[in-house]
Amino acid sequence: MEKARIQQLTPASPWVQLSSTQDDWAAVDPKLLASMLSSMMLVRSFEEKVLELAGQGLVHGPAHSAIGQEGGATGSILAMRGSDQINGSHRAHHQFLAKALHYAVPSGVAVDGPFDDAVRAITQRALAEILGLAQGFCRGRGGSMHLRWAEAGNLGTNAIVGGGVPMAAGAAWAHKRAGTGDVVFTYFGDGAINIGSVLETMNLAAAWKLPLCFFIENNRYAVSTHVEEVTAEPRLSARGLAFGIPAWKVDGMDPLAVHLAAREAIARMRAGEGPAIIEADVYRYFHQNGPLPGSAFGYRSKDEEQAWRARDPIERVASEMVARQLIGEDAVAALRARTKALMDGIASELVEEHEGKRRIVPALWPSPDFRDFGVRGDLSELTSARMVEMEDFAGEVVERRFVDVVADVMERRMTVDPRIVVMGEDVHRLKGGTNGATRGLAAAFPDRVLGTPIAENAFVGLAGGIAMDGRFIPVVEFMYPDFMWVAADQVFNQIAKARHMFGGDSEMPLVLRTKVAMGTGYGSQHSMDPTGIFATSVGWRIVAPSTPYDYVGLMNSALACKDPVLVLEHVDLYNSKGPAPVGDLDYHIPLGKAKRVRRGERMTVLTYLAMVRPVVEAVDRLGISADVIDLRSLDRAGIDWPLIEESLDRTGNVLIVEQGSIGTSYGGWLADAIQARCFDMLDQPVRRVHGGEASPSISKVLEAAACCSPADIEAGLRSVMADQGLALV
Amino acid sequence: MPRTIMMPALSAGMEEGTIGRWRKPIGAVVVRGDVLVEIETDKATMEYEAEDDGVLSAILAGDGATVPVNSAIATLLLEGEASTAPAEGAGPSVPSSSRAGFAGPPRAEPEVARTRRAAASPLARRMAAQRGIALEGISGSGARGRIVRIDINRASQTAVAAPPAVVAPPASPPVAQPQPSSHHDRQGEEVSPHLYLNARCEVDALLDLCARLNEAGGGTYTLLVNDFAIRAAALALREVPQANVLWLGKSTQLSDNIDILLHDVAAVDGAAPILRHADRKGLAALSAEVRALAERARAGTLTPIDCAGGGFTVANFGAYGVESACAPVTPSHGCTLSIGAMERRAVVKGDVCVPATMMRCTLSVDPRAVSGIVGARWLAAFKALIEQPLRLVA
Repeated sequence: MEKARIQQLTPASPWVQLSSTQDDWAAVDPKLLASMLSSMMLVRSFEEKVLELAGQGLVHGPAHSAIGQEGGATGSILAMRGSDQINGSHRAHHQFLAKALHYAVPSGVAVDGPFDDAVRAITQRALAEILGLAQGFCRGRGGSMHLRWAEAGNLGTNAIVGGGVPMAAGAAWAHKRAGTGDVVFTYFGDGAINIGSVLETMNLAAAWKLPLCFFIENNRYAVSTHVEEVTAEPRLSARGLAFGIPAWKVDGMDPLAVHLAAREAIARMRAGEGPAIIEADVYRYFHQNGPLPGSAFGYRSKDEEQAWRARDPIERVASEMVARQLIGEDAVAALRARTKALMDGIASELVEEHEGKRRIVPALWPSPDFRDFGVRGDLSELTSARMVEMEDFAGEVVERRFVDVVADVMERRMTVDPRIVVMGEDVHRLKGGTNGATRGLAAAFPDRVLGTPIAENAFVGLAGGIAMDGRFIPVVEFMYPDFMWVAADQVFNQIAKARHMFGGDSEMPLVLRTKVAMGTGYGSQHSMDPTGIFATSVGWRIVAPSTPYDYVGLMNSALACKDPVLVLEHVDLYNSKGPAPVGDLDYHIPLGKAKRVRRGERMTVLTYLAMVRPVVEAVDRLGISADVIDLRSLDRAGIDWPLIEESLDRTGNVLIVEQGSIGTSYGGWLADAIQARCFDMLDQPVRRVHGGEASPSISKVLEAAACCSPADIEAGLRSVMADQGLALV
Repeated sequence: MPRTIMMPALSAGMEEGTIGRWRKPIGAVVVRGDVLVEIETDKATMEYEAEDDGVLSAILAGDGATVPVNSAIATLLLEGEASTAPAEGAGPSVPSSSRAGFAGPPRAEPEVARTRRAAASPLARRMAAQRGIALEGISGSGARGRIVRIDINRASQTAVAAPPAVVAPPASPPVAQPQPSSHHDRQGEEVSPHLYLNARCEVDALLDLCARLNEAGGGTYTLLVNDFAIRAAALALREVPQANVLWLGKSTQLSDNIDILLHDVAAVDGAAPILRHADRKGLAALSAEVRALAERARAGTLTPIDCAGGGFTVANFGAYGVESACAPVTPSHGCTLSIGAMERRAVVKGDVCVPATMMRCTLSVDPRAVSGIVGARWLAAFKALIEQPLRLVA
């Protein structure tokens, strides 16, 4: 029989609306209802206090309240266990508090009687954080939008819309790999549903069956833009159908309905069946931030606000409890009064009256010298590492192909350290990825070498989440450095800033490998040297080994380091041969230590990666007496000033040589740092050699012209000699 | 009292607001609840309503003006009030645009003719300062004529001493100035060629004159033979000014003044002072000044200014009993005169051998700066002055 011309296809995953019934309300455990009521009331009184302080100008920055949305957070969080985790976005006070309270008081905060010390401590530290005070959860660094309390499963909230979602996937990956059965909820709003981070992560989480719940608080407005203005499918849980993720749509003003959906989603995730989506229809009573209603800004009506307020989630739970005679109306009022009194008491310890105005108690501010604390770690994790420079290497050193050593050292580390996991595009195929740098790894460790979708933002963010979790060490490969722009939010806003932003203590042990590909004809969008850009992002450490020997030692240090480390490779080096160790792949080379590869008196040449060899060749060819320094570590904290200053004090002249184009080049900041530190040592301006202005083109001739060439290096060397009165003939 | 209307805080953290449009003109009668003005914040436009009945008497922030929260934007005359009284607390009117503050007349740069300082690398400047070398006059080998390290090294070999006004301006802190010992330091580096000219001077007449003058002075001064020698050297330089030169490394420059570096009063630390305008001082004044400089040298209180410059050096070794000496030419100078000890000797005069007090003098000459002939002429002039000492008091 001939097939019908049109056949109906069905999505691979279910999509349902879940509503509570009166039977559900009648059957639900009274203790759960009491927990819901106390949790939501505490959250609301907390948020009202925040708005009150904001109205007095005491909250520096925005105060995004979720007043009206409590049902979604509390309903879902009470379905979790303490070791489950959450993160959220800029509007997350309610989630953070609900999770923290549920962790600290798993049996639920009582609706009668005084609040215990844990409740008081949590609300005080959270309010202090929002006010930017030293006693806050993140020592005042994060404020309202970056709340983290890892112990309680609060992974850290995020001010980039959708930015926390890939990180949550990383935590979920770690739970799956560790086999704990724990799950992660990532909360975000309707505004985030259309951003790449979220959609990429949905795809990745489904492909890898991660225990991650995408919890959409659909409050209808992205600031003032209505959801129906920006998507043709405003039932946002429908997104799950595209990725094979089962989805529940619930009324978020009904905390029990949310709770029932969350229980179903969690059961599925704990069983290893992969991610879930819950869309809760909720409403924020106030504008995006501050104490005015949205209607005051003209994008919605007072009638609409009134209609939603009539379905208030707290009143709903209270009235159901009253109906079941679980609580009296006077007790509800008394609970409300006690939550307000708690917040008044806490606020009175943080705020004082001064000359007729309210102000923060001055002693509570963080010290200004805390400013840069925790931008990066202190490298104490490397103090006992065995550091061996090539000159001191006891074993044999032979000439080997660079890329073979790249693969060998990673295989050695993965053999020794089961925490290491490698991920990237095609890293598991093609005999070691596109260049052979991961050769043999997939065969040896099939479950630890992960071929990713082409979605750099999601998979590097996921790796960041793994790193913050701490149980595993991710090694990410970007096939080309230019892809950092695709992943820029996760690379620079999330991974680089997390330690500092969340108070200075949370570690980010992540290695990012990428290869500079100038010279391969891949053109404008694949041919950058990313060093200059990464150097602007102070959380990153950067190493650039120019020999196989140094690669082994620096990769070992990068893998031991508790900060994110960019390990730069270069296609020109991959197939070159250089000195490599025999029989020992376990030594380290210090982060922050440069290496002098030629010694001389007339100038100091600072260079790195694939430029080291041509510089040395040019210096030798011209017979110039020059210090040639292979920088090796390139980040701000990794510049080897003792070596550079010793050299410059003798030579008085400095030339920085790099291969890439000037726009994103590295040497500019280094030149600035040198003139600031060493001005009186200089016999001429800091000189630089770099590529042209444009990104390298596909055409072989134009590409060669765009990159720094041996002739450019020679011209630079000659010019530095001439300008100190020693022109070469 | 008129009511001042302030820029309201419409949202948390609002620090300033922009007047979108006044909905009432000046002079309008307003009733509580009337929309007075539209106020824009970063995110919203709000209609701001009158809180009292009255007459809008003044608008202090016009359409488009951005003003801080709680600053006055208008005044409202309440019923029965005159229109002349300025609103209390309204303060000065707010400019119609917050950018107005930037729009003042451009500040004129003072028109001062500036001489561009010599371009020199930071390293060259540091080296020159340490060595007491003036950058002026050095030609640079670096880019666009910049003076670089190699130029200072070359200059050091001949050590162009800086004029005091350049190297050591009085206002400069002492640490920034060349150390008084710089002359001596430089001698170690010196590789300049030398020519030595000798003369024996008979000094009996000078000793006799010296004794008589000291007796006549009655203790108001005590002249030494050394004072006569310095004065003689100064007057000889007047006669042979070509011997009074600065050596600039490649060329010479005649000294404007007769300033003599006094090597013989060197103190323990080697500092050697300059006797300025040595030819203009009478013997008593010269003697007093030499003595004062010597004391300061011994006390270590010489300043760099005391030691910088000069074109001619006198080094007296006589006090040590040295018969004769050939001191090297001070870097940047053309000549150094070394004076030995006075001795009674048998001197042939005519056909008779007579006793006489003789003093050996040696002129060291840098032939790049001063020719041997000029040196000889100077030495002859000096000898004549020493042996006819009355000319020294003329």
